[in-house]
Amino acid sequence: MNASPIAKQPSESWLHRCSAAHKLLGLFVLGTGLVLVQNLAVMAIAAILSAAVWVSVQWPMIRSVCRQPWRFNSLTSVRQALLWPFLTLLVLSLYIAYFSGWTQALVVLLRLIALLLLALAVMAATPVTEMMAVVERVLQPLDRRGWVKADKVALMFGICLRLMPVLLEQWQDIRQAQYARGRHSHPIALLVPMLVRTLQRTNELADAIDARGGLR
Amino acid sequence: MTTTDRSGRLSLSTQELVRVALFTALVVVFAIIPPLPMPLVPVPLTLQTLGVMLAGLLLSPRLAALSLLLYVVLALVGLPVLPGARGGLAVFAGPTGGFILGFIPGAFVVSWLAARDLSQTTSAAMIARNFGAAVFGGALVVYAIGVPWLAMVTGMSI
Repeated sequence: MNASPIAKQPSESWLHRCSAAHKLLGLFVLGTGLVLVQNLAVMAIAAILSAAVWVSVQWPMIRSVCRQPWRFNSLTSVRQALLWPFLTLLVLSLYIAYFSGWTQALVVLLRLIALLLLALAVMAATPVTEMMAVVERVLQPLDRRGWVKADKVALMFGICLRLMPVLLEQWQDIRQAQYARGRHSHPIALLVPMLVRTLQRTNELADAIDARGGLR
Repeated sequence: MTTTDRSGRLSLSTQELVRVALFTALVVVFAIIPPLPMPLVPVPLTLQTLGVMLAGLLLSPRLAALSLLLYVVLALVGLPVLPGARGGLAVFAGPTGGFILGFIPGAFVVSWLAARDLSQTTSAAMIARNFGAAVFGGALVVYAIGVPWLAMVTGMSI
């Protein structure tokens, strides 16, 4: 699946070396803090600082784009990560400018840019596996009190990640089969087989897990 | 079947656990397939809402909510599971965060309102009821959380 895991660069930056828990905590604190501040100057400084963080993390990528600008089109993950959110932000700030004036729009725009770039930098510098490990560690205290089972949550994560590409392929199979029969994107002709096959797969998978010892 | 042990905790069978995970994956697939960005509205419209409705109609209320909770956590952790292959904390600070969080109660409400007992009603009545449940939970509940969030983040008045 191309859309799934955004290709992580093997390159190391200072942010790659921080622990995932610290990065997430920092992002959370800054995110909350910035929402509370309404000051334009503070917001501008925050946006510049987080832009600096993002540039420092993505420097190898930026440098390669500057050297070979024509490669930008092939970097779809970068384009998707940047273009679409910024388009949304632009439209949004025009809305706010219309309703609440330019200062308010600028504050919101700068705040969202700051948060967006910071989050993108953290995401680019943290592998998904490390994020998962943080989630599991956060669940540990709840596990000890008997509220959730961290290992079951981890299994659900695993199943979900593994089956996303499988279901996407299943969707494309069904669509091609419908095209071959001359039906073009009829919703019911697509959805019914999709659901039936998904539920069948559920039974098969559950049986397979049980046959191998099942859940404790 | 879903059982609750003495402490009242939900304990899932293998079948249920797999079903929850698979519906999460289904919502992800529906989110990724064809994003239709509407002009002038900063919230992308996708088949994702359909995924929420289907999870609600085919799972029990608690399992439906759990399935969508798993989806939100996947998004929070930074997997590109949201429309346009987005993901991560930035989305939740942004304008669409409330809609995504609204999926959890949305799926719960769909499932809660949906009719499952085939012997009780005619099929027409059941279709009508389930359609109503899907629209109420999947659209109204999601928007009831998403729109105030949008207003809060942007400072727009509703």
